[in-house]
Amino acid sequence: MLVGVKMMSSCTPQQKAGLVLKRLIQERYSSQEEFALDYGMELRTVSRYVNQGINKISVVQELADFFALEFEDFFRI
Amino acid sequence: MKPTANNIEDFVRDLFHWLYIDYAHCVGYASPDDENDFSPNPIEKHGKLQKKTLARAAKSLGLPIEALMQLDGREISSWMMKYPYFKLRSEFEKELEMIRYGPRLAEHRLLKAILGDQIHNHDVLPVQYDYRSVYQRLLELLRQMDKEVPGTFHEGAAMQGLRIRTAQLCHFSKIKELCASYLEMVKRENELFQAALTNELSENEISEFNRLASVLELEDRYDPDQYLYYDRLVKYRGVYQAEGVVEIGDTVRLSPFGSFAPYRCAEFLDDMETVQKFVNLYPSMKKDMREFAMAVSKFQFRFKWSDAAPAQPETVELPGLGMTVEVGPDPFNPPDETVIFVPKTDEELGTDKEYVERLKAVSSSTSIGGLRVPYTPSEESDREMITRVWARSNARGGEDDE
Repeated sequence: MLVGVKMMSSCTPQQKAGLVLKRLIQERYSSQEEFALDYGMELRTVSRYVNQGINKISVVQELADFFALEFEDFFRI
Repeated sequence: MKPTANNIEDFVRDLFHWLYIDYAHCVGYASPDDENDFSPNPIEKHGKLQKKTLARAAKSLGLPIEALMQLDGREISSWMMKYPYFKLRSEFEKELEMIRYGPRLAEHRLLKAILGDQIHNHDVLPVQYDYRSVYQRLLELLRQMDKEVPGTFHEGAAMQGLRIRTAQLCHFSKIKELCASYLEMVKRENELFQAALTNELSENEISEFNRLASVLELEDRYDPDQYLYYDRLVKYRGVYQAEGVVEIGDTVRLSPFGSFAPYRCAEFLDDMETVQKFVNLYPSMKKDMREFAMAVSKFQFRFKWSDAAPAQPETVELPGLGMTVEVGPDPFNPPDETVIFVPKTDEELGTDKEYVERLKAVSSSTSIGGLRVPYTPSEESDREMITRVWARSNARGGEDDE
């Protein structure tokens, strides 16, 4: 857990958003495919966001709405 | 007096218009290799009738060529009476136009009459909002976001090419009737499809099947270039039987509405059973609803910071091929462009607030109660997909239908 926290703190905000998305998918879906279908996004895009981070503010805003979270939640978890 | 080629072309185009069928998709483009020319094949050229194009139009309309040459629309008129969809769709479109253009509707109609398709729908911004206040909120939001994502706000830089977009829900009390009639057409097309999987259809049934295929934009998932008309369905019969296809949805999809998107109407959300039926028919509708929920609940700003570094080409790996290609910046979504949503206030949402909340809820994650999207075969493996594409190509014998 401590390693996770350390990793998070050294990440860029874009990478943090990607890691938060990864965690949300793990908690709420059985697979990335299932999330991709529910959200309406290509699987390769989901994979890119999760692994490389999300560099578009508007995408984070859309994801926050989809999960009924605050924008800040994607950077503070 | 015998109708001229011009008369026939006008008549045919009117029929396509009344039935909300995409004329260009059905008859093909005059210059298919020119990506800047979208003009469809004409039925009249230099005063002469283009018989091949007329035959394509006749098939799409489910009418004999002779009926078109005699300007005989009786069959279509009586068929349209069976489905209130066509009359209601026209009323629905008027409501959408009203909400989109508001007090500037008369001006828009006049410009459209003069300039036709050169008028772009997105050029009109609703007038009832105080955009000075919205812009101030944009600046506040950017400063606030900058705390989480440094570099979001560019102090001292100018916003270039600023564009604002938003949308509003329309109100149409007959949406339930409109949707029911639409679903009735889907049901009928499915009956004909199922019958055609094993039996020959009668001439009348073939006409109805083809007409509905055009109205509903029926496509085979693995062969989406043309609508799935009866002659093609007959060629694919063996393929469908081998794949265990029993109904529309197993392999055939209906294109997502053309411009008919019932979720733009608030009252559509009063009947969740119908909403789920539409999502089952059009799995991509949940995404469309989610995007529309963003559009109605927020203002979307697009701009470039004057001091932003220009976008560079990106190296992209081609999956499974072990190759990379260099891709230039996406002109529709350039990476150096900033896109931000500014939420509307309760006052700006007005009486639609409850419906907007409902739209957001149904298009949210299933984990918090959003609509469930059915599994679609498009999620299968690449190998399986290629097999199915080849099976159809072989069934066609490499030829296109006329």
